[in-house]
Amino acid sequence: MNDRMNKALEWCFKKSIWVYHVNAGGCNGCDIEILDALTPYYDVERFGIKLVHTPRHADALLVAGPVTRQVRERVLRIYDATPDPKLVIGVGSCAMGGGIWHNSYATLGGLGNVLPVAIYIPGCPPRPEAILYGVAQALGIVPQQVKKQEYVEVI
Amino acid sequence: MWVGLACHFIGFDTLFMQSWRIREPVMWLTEYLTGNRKTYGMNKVGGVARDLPSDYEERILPVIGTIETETLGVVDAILGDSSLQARLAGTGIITPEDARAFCVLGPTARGSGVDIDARRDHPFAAYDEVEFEVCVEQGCDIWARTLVRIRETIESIKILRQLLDKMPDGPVMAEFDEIPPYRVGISSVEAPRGEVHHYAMTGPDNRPYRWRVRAPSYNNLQVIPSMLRGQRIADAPISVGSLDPCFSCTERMAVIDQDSGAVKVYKQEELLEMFNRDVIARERSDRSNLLDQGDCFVGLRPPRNDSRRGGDDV
Amino acid sequence: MFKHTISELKEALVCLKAGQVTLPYPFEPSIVEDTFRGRPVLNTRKCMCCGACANACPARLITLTDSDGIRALHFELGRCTYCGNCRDACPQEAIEMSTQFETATANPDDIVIHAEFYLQTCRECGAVVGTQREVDVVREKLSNSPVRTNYADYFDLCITCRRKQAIHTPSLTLEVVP
Repeated sequence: MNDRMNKALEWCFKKSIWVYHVNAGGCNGCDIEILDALTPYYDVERFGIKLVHTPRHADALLVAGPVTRQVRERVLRIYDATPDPKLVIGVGSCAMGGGIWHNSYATLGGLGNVLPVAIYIPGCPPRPEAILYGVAQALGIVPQQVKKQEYVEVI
Repeated sequence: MWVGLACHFIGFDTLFMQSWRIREPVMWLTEYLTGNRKTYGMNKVGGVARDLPSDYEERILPVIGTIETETLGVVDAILGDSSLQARLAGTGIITPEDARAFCVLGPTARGSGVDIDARRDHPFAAYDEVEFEVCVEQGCDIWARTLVRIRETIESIKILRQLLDKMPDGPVMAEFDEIPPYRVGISSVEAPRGEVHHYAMTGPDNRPYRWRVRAPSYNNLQVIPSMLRGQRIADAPISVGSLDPCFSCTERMAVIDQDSGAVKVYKQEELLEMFNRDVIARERSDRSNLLDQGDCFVGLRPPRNDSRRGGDDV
Repeated sequence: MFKHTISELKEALVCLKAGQVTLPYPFEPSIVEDTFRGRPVLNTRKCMCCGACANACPARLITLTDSDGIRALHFELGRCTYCGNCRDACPQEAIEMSTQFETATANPDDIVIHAEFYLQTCRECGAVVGTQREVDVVREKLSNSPVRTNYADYFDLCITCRRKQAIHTPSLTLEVVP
């Protein structure tokens, strides 16, 4: 079942992917960087990644911000409005683990507590290149570069 | 940047792309000077975290030079554009009376002829040592606000040049002892959107205890109903956009009892208790539902080598 | 109308003058300035696990936990704001901000630094003195300093036991070499 699903997904996301940009209580930094990726120097539209104006046209949601209590309902509604299959991409440190707001009563401490997230792009804000790389990584075009750094002292 | 966004709102994407192209070298410059594109991490209690690189002047001057010439070129090009004039001139009118009544700030106020600028009225930092002009336009419409912003860009470049000339030497950080707890500090500075107030209370262990911001968008957004009255729907996006609203800055919570008019301020414990009681409970149920439907995500995750988390793979 | 045409021509000229500016990023690696603050990297050879970084971190993502004679230093980098305060605070210069920015991951656990160090316990009462590396660093610094001490017995004592010991040896002297 899963294999068939994967094949179907690969086929779905093979060509251009349209993204919808959601601000879930972020500070605007990540939003500007997402827009920046559209502008002449980075120009993601040459890869077919297009920013659309309604979640109903979108394949992927780019969500920035730690998800405040007020915005949670709207994020869920946007998620429901997006047709399947869909990807959720968390942009920025706030979406990843709540950022500096991780233990605030006003936020839900990260996107992972609200939606099933396909990939996180850390950064405060991530560079437009990093956003581009993250979206490409979510589509399986490029490999993951980070891994956990672990150390145990030996005497 | 605002000029570009405004043009995006009215569908004039050429200028949107061009103005963001002009802006991009500034981001590279800040990345070089401070280490990050937006979160500079420079300001600290007592000074700044690190000094500028030694060749800052050679890096800054060419960038602001090109920005000046390119901005002037773009402005020269759009000034005669009658379609732009038709969209911007005469729409989104804020009369000077309204501007004063709603206490709007920054370029929004200056576009309506209200001469207000925190940099000149109560100077902070080094603004009393540089000469600059406060740009005021009498047009009261979106075009006037656009002109104010464009003139301010040029004015900022002038300020930067003066500051580079007068850059003093010396330590970047002052020496200080322990910060006394529970003292209050209030500051107001002129941000690109207007006057922003910060309130901070120091806490124990050299840490802030309470911090509150009054962003200018909070004032500016109040004027929207009076500004939109009698306008066409098509003009609404650019009218709202002309205030350069930052909705992230204005998301605030106040609980007001309608019957008595009493404002209830929740304490942290109460809010945490409310939060724990309903939101987390709802969150759990919602999340499990979502994850149940979310089978399609399996294929998009890269294969995991970590066996510990293998169990919860949906 | 004439004015409008001229204006449009000028706009076209602005675009033509700029030409094609798109960066070749995905096909060629992006040029990152040396001063760029990317993912922090811990040099585990230098680190002595003193916790200065944990105190300086504004996002409170660095935690120290003691258990079973081991102190674990944990960087939850998913919340990192890349401010560089930990690097500035580190007395050993063990934290370095790399220029890596392509750090996207599906699992927040992948962008974590976890290091474990042995603890030095008090030989009298068993309380925690610090990590063994911390004690080593202090010992080395004291042996190089002009102040000659007979503190050699005190390194593996907690502060309370150190006081007791000092009271019971009244002949303790400090000798400053000119």
